[in-house]
Amino acid sequence: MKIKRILALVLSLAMVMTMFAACGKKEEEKPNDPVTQDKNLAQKGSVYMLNFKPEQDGAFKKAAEAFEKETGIKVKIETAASGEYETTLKTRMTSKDEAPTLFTINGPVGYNAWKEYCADLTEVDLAKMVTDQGFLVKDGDKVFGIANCVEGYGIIYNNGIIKEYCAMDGAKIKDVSEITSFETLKAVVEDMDAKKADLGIDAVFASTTLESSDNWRWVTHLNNMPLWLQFDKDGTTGTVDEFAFDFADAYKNIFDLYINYDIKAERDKTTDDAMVQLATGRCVFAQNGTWAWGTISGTEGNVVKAEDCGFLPIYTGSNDDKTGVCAGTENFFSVNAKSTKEDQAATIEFLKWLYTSEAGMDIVKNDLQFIAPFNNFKAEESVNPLINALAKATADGKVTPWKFHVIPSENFKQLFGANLKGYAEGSIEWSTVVEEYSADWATEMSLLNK
Amino acid sequence: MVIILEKAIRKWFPLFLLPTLIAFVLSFVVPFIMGLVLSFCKFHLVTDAEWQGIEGYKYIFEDPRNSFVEAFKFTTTFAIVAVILINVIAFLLANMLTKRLRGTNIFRSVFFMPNLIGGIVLGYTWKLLINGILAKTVGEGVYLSSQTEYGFWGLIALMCWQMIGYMMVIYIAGIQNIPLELIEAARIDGASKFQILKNVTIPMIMSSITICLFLTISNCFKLFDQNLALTGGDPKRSTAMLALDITITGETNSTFLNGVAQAKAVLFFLIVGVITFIQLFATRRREVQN
Repeated sequence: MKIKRILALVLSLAMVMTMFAACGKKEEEKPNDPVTQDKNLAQKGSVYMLNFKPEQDGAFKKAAEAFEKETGIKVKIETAASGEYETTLKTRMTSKDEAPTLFTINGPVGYNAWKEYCADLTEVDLAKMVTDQGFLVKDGDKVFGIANCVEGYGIIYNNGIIKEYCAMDGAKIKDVSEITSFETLKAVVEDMDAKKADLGIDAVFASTTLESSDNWRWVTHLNNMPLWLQFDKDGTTGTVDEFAFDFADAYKNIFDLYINYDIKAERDKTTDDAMVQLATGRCVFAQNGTWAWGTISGTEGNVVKAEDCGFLPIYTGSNDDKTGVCAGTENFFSVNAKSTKEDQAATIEFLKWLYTSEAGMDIVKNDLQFIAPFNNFKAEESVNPLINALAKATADGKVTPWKFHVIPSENFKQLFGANLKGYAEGSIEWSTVVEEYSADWATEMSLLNK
Repeated sequence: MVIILEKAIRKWFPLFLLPTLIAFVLSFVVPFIMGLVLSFCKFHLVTDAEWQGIEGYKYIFEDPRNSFVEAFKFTTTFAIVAVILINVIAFLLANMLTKRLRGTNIFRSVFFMPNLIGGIVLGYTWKLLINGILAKTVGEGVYLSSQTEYGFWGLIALMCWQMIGYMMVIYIAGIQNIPLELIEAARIDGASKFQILKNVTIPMIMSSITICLFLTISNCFKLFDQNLALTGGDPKRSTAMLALDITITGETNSTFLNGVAQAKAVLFFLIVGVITFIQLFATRRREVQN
């Protein structure tokens, strides 16, 4: 008995000691020199990428294999389970020798959290090839993240039903292209609602999915509109500690339109279910992005033809003439600042190969199905009509940038989402939603900086 | 021979204990101590923690939204209602199913089955079910996530449905262990059915009651899967129980809030420990030794 006790005591004491030692010891500071591109150095290193999107696992592995064959540099791709990326990254980064050399951050807020781990990428060629400065995560003049793709979202429409509507007597428009402002959109939606029996639809919009697990289309994506309007007005960039919700009415305009004319009975369903509603012709519009085409075209009994599918910008009644399809990304590649020089060089070499070599570009286009944000890529027809619509909007210069990555925290989104849900169900006043928006923003930012 | 063997065992047992001990230390003691230390730290990664003392603990009670205290109140109310309902119903069922009814075995298996289904699956299934009922009775566009009360009673219903069968089995075992002579003697002495129940059956199954209370109370306080899948804390975290509140707090990029979540987890451990300990102590004293 005695031996056992002593043994246990000694062991636990040893553990406590190591813990305190680990806690107390500060990492020796490594100067964050800009990462340089060096082919010879790269040969001695290897790449370890932590991938964020499970659906891209196969494509990245294919790229890794091809790159390895060509250069002899080893590439390891690990994919985090859906929704587990941050947790996985936190775990992997604690390893000293085998931490990922390549990972993704979601923008300025992600950069703040991972600052110590983001290497300076200012000198990397890819950073100089971006088509817009918005595709870089910067701190001062230095670059710490490079976008890996461009995505877009707006109000997806099914032109098949719209054409039917336009042929009716007293239709407000003759063609979908005539919807260029919130007023027109509202008039069309109201008129369609009145004629929904003739059009054979359940409602004009797909369900406004408001469960906390599925409210990102409103708390993140739609939220981009007032954020963009405000940032545009104030001329701010990067994160802000306090946010005046001046364009609350713009948000309310479009949100009211959604909740007044959507399929109300199914608001507890998921975003995918909402896409199925659009695909099966039960509604005309649904707010979502380029990635939704997979679900729509894959739905059994899909009635949305590729040539009939497109985006409307999310008009809010404010700055409608400048509003376009929301284009941007929340996936920025960062290189681990704590990796060895060799591994960093190898990682840069891999990225360069992926986005500039013929074989790499082919994978980007056809397997990853990215619109690459670099100037060496030319616009090409995609099988995804939403990507084509986005490419056209980008070429016309009619896009609204993504600003929502400045939202302070997940908790902020959930509080806003709960208020939106309460507002939609009639239990919370709009004025409360607006007040708490600014208050929660300030609280969450102060916690982030604490 | 036996004595030599015993001596050898006494001498060498630490060696045989070692594999288990190492596994226990690595997978339980170390994370536990790390968790304890981290609750006094600010951290983003567990390896780059920075000491901040009791700031995290202080914030739990200074939190403008008071989420932990609210979660504690909600959990306690939930636990009281659920524990009473589960144990009363389980006992009544057990009492009924030990009365030599037709098809007793089928009933027993059917009542036990819900216990075999995982919490997440149950949560989503019940959510669909309750949303359907609400839409039919209260009105279209009303969901489980619309009001705190709906979430509360939804959780109670789910928990009862899942736990009653398990508790019933334990009560059945207890009741079957009561010597028939005791009940027979009571009957000859002219005791009514209620008197037999009160003075013979319940004192004789006190050990089953201890186990059942212990299991239900600790399960109610530690409830997570069902909470996450059924309500997810909606509306506005008002139906988030302790474990879910900790998880939500920890889903953050704020190094400070990570420490707070860790501090909450330590408090959570203490709360669950103390409550079950008191309960165990209280009922153990009343057990009849036979």
